[in-house]
Formats: sequence, C-alpha cells, structure tokens
Amino acid sequence: MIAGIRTRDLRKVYSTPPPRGAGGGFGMRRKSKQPAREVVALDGLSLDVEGGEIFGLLGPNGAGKSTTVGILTTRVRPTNGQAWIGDYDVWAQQVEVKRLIGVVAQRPNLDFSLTAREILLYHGAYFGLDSRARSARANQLLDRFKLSDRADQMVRGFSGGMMQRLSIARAMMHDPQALFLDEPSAGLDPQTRLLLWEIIREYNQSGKTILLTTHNMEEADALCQRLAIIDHGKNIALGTPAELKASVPGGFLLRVRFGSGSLELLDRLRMLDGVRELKSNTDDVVDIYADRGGPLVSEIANIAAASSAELSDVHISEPSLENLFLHHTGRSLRE
Amino acid sequence: MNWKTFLALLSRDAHVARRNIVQLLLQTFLQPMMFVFIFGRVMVSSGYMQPEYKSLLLPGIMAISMVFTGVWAVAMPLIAEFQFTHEIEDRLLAPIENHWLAIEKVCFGAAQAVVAGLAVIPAAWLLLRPVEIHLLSPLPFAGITLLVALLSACGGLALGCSVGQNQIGLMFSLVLTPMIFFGCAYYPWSALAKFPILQKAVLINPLVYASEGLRGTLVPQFPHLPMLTVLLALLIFDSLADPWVAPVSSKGCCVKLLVTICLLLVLMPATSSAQRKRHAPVSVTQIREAERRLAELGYWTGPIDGRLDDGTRAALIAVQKWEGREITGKLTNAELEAIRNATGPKPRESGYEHVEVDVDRQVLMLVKDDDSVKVLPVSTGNDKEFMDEGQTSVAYTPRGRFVVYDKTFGWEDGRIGSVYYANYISGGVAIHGYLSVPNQPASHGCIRIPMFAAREVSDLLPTGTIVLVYDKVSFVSGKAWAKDPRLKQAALANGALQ
Repeated sequence: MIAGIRTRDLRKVYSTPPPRGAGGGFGMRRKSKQPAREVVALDGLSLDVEGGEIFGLLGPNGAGKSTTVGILTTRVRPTNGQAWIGDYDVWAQQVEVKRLIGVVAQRPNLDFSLTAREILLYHGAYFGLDSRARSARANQLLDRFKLSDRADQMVRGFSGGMMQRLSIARAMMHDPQALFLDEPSAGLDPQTRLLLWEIIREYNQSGKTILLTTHNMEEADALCQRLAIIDHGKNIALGTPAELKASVPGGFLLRVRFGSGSLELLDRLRMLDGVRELKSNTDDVVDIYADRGGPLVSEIANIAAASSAELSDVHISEPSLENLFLHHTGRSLRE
Repeated sequence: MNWKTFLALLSRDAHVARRNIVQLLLQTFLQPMMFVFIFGRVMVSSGYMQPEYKSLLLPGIMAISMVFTGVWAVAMPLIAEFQFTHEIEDRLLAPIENHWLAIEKVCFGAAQAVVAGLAVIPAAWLLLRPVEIHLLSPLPFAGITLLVALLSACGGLALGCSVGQNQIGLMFSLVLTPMIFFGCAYYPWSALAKFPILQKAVLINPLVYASEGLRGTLVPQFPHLPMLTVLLALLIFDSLADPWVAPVSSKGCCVKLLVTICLLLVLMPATSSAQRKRHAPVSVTQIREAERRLAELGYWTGPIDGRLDDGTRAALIAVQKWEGREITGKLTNAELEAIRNATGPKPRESGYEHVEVDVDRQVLMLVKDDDSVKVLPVSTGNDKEFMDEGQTSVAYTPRGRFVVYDKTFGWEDGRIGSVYYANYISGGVAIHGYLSVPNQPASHGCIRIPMFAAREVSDLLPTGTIVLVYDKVSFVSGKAWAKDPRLKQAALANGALQ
C-alpha cells in the first residue's frame, strides 16, 4: 500500500506558546483567567502529497512546518481542518496512522535510558516485530547509518550528529509507508548529509512517501520531487523545484541598499535592461529581480550616482529557492 | 488495545528498572531503613520510645515506601521525558492509544510500589525484631496494598504531568514532605486527637488512608481508622486523580475501571474484616492481660494468646454473669478495669472434687479437691413447654445433687437435637457441648456448655462425678456422698436404672 498525505484547511491556534519543535502531543492544561495570547501557527493549510514522492515543506522558523508535521503524526491536535495518511483520518484513527508513519522530530527525542541497539529493538517491539526480525533489521540499520561500532553504548554520550542518524534509523525501523523528517540534516556534517540523502532516496525508491521540512535550499533542491513553501501557516507556493525556480522573475536577485532613495530612482532602475521586477520593502533596500547579475551592478551604480543616492551595499544571488522565498514573502529564509 | 505493544512498553520500563536496580534500591530503602533504625532501634533501646512503637511504625514505613516509590517511579521519568528530553515521543508514536501509555506507566509504577512495600516488611522486621504483626486478614491486606500502590502511581502521573522541570524541588518541599509528616505514618491518626483542627485537616492527605489501612490490616491491635472509611477514601482519591489523568488520555476512565475492579475484589472480604475488627477495640497486649487475669480468677479462657477467641469470649461472658453485669462478651477498657478489680467466683462447697451448676447465674464450676475452680457459661432449661414424641414436656433442669452416670463421646444424635460429649446426670438431662449457648436459659433441660470446652470437660468428668445443680432457693450439699462413697454408688445405680 502506498500512503499519500493530505490535509484540508488545517488550522492550529496555540493559546500557549507553541512547544519548541511542536513535539509532545500533550502537556499540562493551564487554566488562567486572562485570555491567553493566541498564536496562529497554521492558517488553513491544504496539502496533497502523492504516495511515493519526496515532498518538501520549506519555510522560515515559525512558519508552521513543525506544527504541520506534528498534526500529521498525531502529536498535535488541529484546531480546525482534517488530515489524512492514506485513507486514515489522523486524529480520529491514531493507532492505524501510527502504524503507517515513521517520525524524526526536530529535536532529538531518543530514549536516553537505552543503548543505541536497544532503542531500535524496543521500537521494533512496540510495532510488534518478532525478535529475529527486530535484531536483523536493527543490525542492518546500524550498519547503514554507520553506528555499528557504538551500537551497545548508551546514547546519552552520543554527538548530535549520531543522535540524528539514530533517530532516522529508528523512524525506519518498522518500515513505515510514510516517513516524516523534520529538519533531518540539521547538525550533520556534509559527508553525513550526503549519506542521509542517499538513504532517503533509496527508501523512496522502495515506494515510500517521504515528507521533509527544511530551510536548507540545497537539500530541498537535491531531494524533493515537489515542494510547498509555507509562511505564517499558509501555503504560498507549490511545485517542483524547477517550476518554482522558474517562477522567480529573471532568476538573479540583486539586493541593493541606498543611503537615501527616491521614487524617481526606483523608476529609473526599473527601466534598466534585463530588470524584470523591482521591490522596495523599506526605504533604503531595493530588491531587483533580473536576468543578469554582475553586469547590472555598474549600471545601478551609475544611476545611483546620477540621482545622488549613496549606494551603500549590493548583494547578488544566483537563481535559487532562497530568491523564490524572498520573492514571495519579502523575507529571507534565514532571518 | 494492542497487547504486543503494551507488553513491549512494560518490558522497556522493566529493562530500564533492571539497569538502574542499585539506584532504585537505594531510593526505596535507604530513607525508610534509616528511619526504622533511629526510631525503632535507637530510640526504643535507649528507652525514649516504648517497644510497642516498633509495631506501630512498621505499617507506616511500608505506606511511605509505597507512596514514595509509586509517585517517584511515574512522576520523575515523566517530568524529564515530557519537558526536557521529549523521550516519551517514541512511545507516543507506538501503535497504541495514548491513554494506554498512561495506564502502562501507572501499572508499572504500582507494581514497583507493591514490590517496595512488600520488601520493606522483611527488611524492617529484621531491623526491628521483635514486632507484633498480626496478618489476620490477608485478602484485605492485599487489597489495601494494591489500592495504595495504584493510587500512588496515579498520583505520580498527576504530578508528572503537572509539575514543571524547574519545580521538582518545590514539589518535594511543598507536596511530598508535608504529605509524609502529616500522613499518620509515624503515629496513628487518633494520636492527633489533641489537635482537632489538624486532625480534620490531614484527612485530605491520601497517605493517611494508606498508613491507617495498612495499620488496620497488619497491626489491628493499634487504633486505626475503620477499614470502610479507608476504602471509601481511597476510592474518592482515585476519582479525584482521574481528571488529572484525563488530559493525558481522553479515556482516562480506563484507570478508573482498573481501580474499581481492584476495589470490588477486596471490598467483600474487607468489609467482613472491618466488622470483625469492630469487636477488637483493644490491643493484643490488653487482651492478653485480660485472659491472664481471668484465668487467674478461675474462668475458663482457653489458651492465653492475645486473641479474642471463643475461650476468651466465654470467660468474659462467665465473669459478667457471675458479677451480674451486662452480658456482652466484649472486652472494652471499662471491662478490663472491672476484670482487674474482680474477685474470683466462689463455689458453694469445697474440699472435694465436684461440679456445681448455678442456674441463677447460668454458670458451671468445675471444683477440684484443692478448691481451684474453672468456670464456664452455660444455658439450662428455659421452663417452656415443648413437644417430644407427641407428649408435652417442660424444658426444666432439675435442681439437686446428681452423679454423672453415663457418658457419650463426640456427636450423638438425639430426638430433640444433637449433643456433643454428653455427661448424663439425670434421665435425659446431660452436661453437653452445643453449637449455641445463649446467655439466658434456652435448652430443653440439659446444661449446654460451649463447644470448645466440651471435650475437655468430658475428660474431667468421669462417671460418678458429683454434680450439684441449684438456684437461690434450692441447694443440696454433696458432702455426704463425698464422704461416703457407698451412698454415691447407690445414687449412681439409681441413675443407671433410669
């Protein structure tokens, strides 16, 4: 069975600040007399992830990525809307859903009372694997994630990267149909990241659905077959990485900072050859989307000089998802 | 519900507990054992505490260990796993409803509490020796132990879900420490009588019921709350803990169900034992004192063992009959005082071996030739008419002097009921054991004695024993027969002829 992932108009409003990493489906219920400050984490998000694809959720911190993953993995209760894994309603049919999914949370949540191998073995046991299948699969995964030599040590002493690898191995332990990876490559060195990508692609090739969140452009570009860019709990762009990149006017982005600007200056910049679009967020910063990069700089400098505007900074970026995000939101992913 | 997953969760917890066994043992035993040593050994052997205190202390120590272990075992991992490490997530993602995880935690915590509670008994016993434990009713004891364990684990769950990481220290000084000191673990609840407000206030503390319940089942000789109160309170506390469980699991009622089943299991035997307990408002030491004094005075008490058995009760009835007080058969502090000041029963005749039956007082006295007596309560004929083989007879016990002329052994079936070890003195009239010996005349003419003494009485009454039956207006001396055995022989022959 190939399990797709769908959401319809998901809304999540936290009355308390959202838990970090949006993990932990339940905590204490505080009843305070004052109405708590409400935080809208998701604002009518609809997604449709096909079975068997690698789908990326891209967005800055606080965009609602982890909350989306939290809802899809039964750990967060949506305020409104519905989510399905395969044919199962996530909130109403939790046990069936849990059987289908494997989850790597943003923060390492390994069982610190156990060794690496035991973590995998007990995880297998929770999913009803018999002991022979358990130990065979555990060995295979430990080997694949290059953890065999530390397999029988307590995970308390593991480095962040090792914990991350083990978390991913654990999520794959019961061979889930849908794998959720919340910032999987955070804290991994480039070499390990490549290994992880390889493993993810391999897992996908066996027909499994993978949903990953990231704010790493390179990763989304390299791995994902389709992407959704979300911000403030809303889906603002959807498509293949290539489609999305093509949707950015020109491709090059020049971020220019002036000591002082004027409308006239902007009009003159817009007239330059190759400039597709021009956005001015604040008084002194102007984003210029163009199909040329470097060669434009000298022309911009000339115009600035002619308008007696002091040019203080120019930043050129090549066509990328970063630009795309910036184009849609006016904010950088790394902000 | 998925048993495979549930068992895997349990085995994970068991595995972790095994790994941390030394730590666990220290956590469970160190504090209670130190307390037992100081208060049970040091204070007692130096004379600051009475030795009885040791027996009083033991159930309290057990209650503390159980509550502490149960709360600790559930709350501490939860606090860390929920808030700090998020470790719990891998189990929340196991294919099982979340409330089963809560139930699993409670089960495991309760199991740990039971083990701790049961292990403390021998450990403390070794340190305290000798302590007077009377496990008279093992079933209610098991029930109370289970309830306390379940309750402490539920409490641990409530604390674990509500206490923040940075409030653990506060939890100890604000919740657990007062709970232990005002938990009636080191003293019985009744000891707070001088502080009436405090005495009422501590009733909100679940540990009070744990201590008092265990005290009631382990050392019933000490004052304790009635068992029913304890059970009811534990049930109420459970339903209070339930809303705490609710945020964790939408179906927190499962825990409630578990507790209710457990409660039903113990309620029946516990209630019966509670009733039994009501007859024992005095301590073993006091019972033993009463038995010793009664035996000294000449009442038949059975073994002097500190138990309110049939013998003790018969002796209590006999002394009340002799002294003309209200016949209750119960030992109260007032009764004990009366027994202390009592003088022994006096037979009408002395100097030879015989039996006297005082119909007015409804007692029987076995008099030895050294003038020592043994007194038993009896029930004689009630003077009413009854039908026997179509003839109307009067249930009358003849007064006068008689000799035992015939004996039967064990049960003998008669026309108007079965008799046990009968000693016939006149016609169908016998001194015999009977299942019911009311405080007032009730027989068809025979002299009923309590079952427990019947066989021994039969041994003490060989054929030819002189029996004097009298009331305040009729008394015939047996001295003549005692002096001249020929007369007695003649009387014996007469009796045999009938």
